[in-house]
Amino acid sequence: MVAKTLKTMGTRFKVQGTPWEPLFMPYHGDEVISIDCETTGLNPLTDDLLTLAAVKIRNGKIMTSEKLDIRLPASPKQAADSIRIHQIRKVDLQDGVGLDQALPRFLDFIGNRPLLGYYINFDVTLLNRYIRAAFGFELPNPTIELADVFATKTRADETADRRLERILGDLGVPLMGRHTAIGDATMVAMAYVKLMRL
Amino acid sequence: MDTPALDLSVPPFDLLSPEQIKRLSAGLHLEYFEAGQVIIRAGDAPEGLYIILKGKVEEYDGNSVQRDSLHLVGQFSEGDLFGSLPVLKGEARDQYVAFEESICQCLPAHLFLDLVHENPEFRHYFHKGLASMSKQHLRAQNRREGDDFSLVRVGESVTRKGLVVSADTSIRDTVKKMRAAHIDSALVDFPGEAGSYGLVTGTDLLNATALDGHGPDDPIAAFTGRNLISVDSEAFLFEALTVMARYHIKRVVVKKESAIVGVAELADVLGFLSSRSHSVGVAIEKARSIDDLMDAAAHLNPLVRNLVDKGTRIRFLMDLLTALNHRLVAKVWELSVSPDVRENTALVVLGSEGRGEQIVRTDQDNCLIVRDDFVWPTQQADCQRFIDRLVQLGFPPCPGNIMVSNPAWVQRESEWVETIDRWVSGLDESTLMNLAIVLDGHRVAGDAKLFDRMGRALLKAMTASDIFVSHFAAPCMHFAVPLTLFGNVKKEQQGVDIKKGAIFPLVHGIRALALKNGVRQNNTFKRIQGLVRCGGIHEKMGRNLESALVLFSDYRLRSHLRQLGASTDVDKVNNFIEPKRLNRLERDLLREALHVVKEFKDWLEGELHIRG
Repeated sequence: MVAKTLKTMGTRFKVQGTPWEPLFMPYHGDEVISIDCETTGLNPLTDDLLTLAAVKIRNGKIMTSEKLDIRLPASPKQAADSIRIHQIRKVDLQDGVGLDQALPRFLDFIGNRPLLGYYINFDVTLLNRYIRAAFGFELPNPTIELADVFATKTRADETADRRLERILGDLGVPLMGRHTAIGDATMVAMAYVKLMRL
Repeated sequence: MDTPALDLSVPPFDLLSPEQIKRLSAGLHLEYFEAGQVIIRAGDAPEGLYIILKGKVEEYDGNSVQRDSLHLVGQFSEGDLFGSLPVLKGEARDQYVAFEESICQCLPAHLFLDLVHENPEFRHYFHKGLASMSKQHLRAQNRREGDDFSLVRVGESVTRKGLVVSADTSIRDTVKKMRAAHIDSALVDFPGEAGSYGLVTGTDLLNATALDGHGPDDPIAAFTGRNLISVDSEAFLFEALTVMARYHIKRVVVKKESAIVGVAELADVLGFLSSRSHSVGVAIEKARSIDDLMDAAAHLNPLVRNLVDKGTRIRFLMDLLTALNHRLVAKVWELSVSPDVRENTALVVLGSEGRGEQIVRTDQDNCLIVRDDFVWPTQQADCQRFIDRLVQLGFPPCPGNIMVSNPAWVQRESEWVETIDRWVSGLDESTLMNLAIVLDGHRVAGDAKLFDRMGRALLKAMTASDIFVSHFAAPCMHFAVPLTLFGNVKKEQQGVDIKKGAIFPLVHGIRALALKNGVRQNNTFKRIQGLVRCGGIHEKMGRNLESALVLFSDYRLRSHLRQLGASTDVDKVNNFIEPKRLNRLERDLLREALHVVKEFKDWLEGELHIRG
């Protein structure tokens, strides 16, 4: 925690005068951004980003009208593995936006709001890898872990089932586009809104 | 991403352009409501309209703080849309509350109003009135099913330009002209009577020369039929068939705005249709025995199913099946009693059969008027045989025993007059209902004069005092309109009793109004039209009531057919509609139609001074 604060303060000095300075201001509003990434695999340090989705939660409403749903161009890994396994060719993914556009749009959308996710550390670690390479800093936003909120609010013990399906099922969140980044981000947002009313 | 779990391909969203759909799905947001949470507050300008993804929402009268069934105006569940009216008006009249925890899509007011402003069809849908909503529904159905033969009109398909000859033409010249024109009939123009025509057929000419002693040089005027039976050129083909079946004729004159435009021949109509409806009709006509009739009657329900699948209009089905059933009953009567009995009695079908609103035979109600001086020792045996045969043919016995096998429903003319007077002064529920079904009576066989005299006596007795009509109409108020489609769990499984809660109050209310206003029709649709013409009800209400009755009949018919399945066991058929079997639009329409009935009842209560 202290390390992160020190690091953030250092970065804040570094981004002074750049368009990213507001990201490092403390947040005072009540909006939260639910994010989700789809990747080529489960290792945030090596696998590539395929789609990136974010939905704004304001006043307990899930503003699907203010969302980000970006599909990135095929990665070399995707090309090699997927063609073999899924017969998805590279051309099928060519409608994506380049990273050079995707990251600024994402940063602009989230601002300094807290980020919500299921296993949010995975997404943040992966995103930081890209953002560091492009801008030289890491995401300073506070994060909210859905699985933790669920455990606290429902007083579940540590051995409780924390799978997303289970959490969504327990909370009665209807399935909406499961296994798409925007679908998962929306359902996580819905679960969070419900938990905050408990 | 597509909007999750929201079907945008159903009305009203299918009325939007692809660009508008895109804007709509981009503008939606999701909201979660706890049980009991107010979603739209009465008096507020709502944030938008809502589409339920999960859960149930109730609408309560905004004038009351109470939330009980008395103040419940409507219920909505998954897939339903609510709040459009408050958004359009800028203020909510009612309160919308989450009944259980619910997740809704919210379409923000400004976006909705933009779409309504831009797209006239979309606007029309929300400014509805049930009549236009149903039309929308029908259009959507037709789009699915493509052109249906039952929607072909007489004028554009089978109408032949009639051959016109003058009434003073000789038989010889007429035959020559008919042969030259390859047509078996001719319209006969009577000089000096502009626009008045008669019709002469090949058979008429043959009979005149071969049997009646006319020579080939005689003019045709003497034996030309002047009572022309006609159909409108806008009528559907089936309607022409119904008319032909009812009058046992092979051709009808086709009119457009009361001017004759041609002739439709049975052979041509049949050539156009591949359906069995007419062959059933013909089979009934040709039947020589009960076994023959059994064969013909066995085709009736499959015929209905077939026509429903093809999307035939419900009004049309009613007319067709009424014509067929009436002929069937008449034929059974003919095969069951001697000519002597037939001449001295009038056989009358009552209730929904009389009104011509029964499609699947779920019931039979009938009575017999017997001439005062007729001696009929075998009455009970004859009547019992007749009813047994009807049951055999698939007309289930009447649970209330309103059948001619019950001697109470076989009376001499003078006895009927006394009975009616007794019923009118009795004023208890069961006698009022007896009067109601007799008022719907339709003579299917026997002496027309007997029936006419009884009808006049009935009207005279029932209109003698103004107070009687309000007593008569009172049962309309007995059952609440089932506005809540999703009440408690028990109800939900059972569904909505559409007969008790919706069809009965509508039909009976209209019956009472028709009585009060002197509209002498026995079909509810015709009564409504008559009432609108004489100013007995407002035109818009009339239109909405007609649409509502069509809708109820349609849902009930489909439910009956489903319950019947492949079997023909009518005893098990009930009148419940299960909302869960309806899609969102159908539920919207049902809810709207139930509101029409509720409004009608409220209005009727004041109009007829009914004390509840």
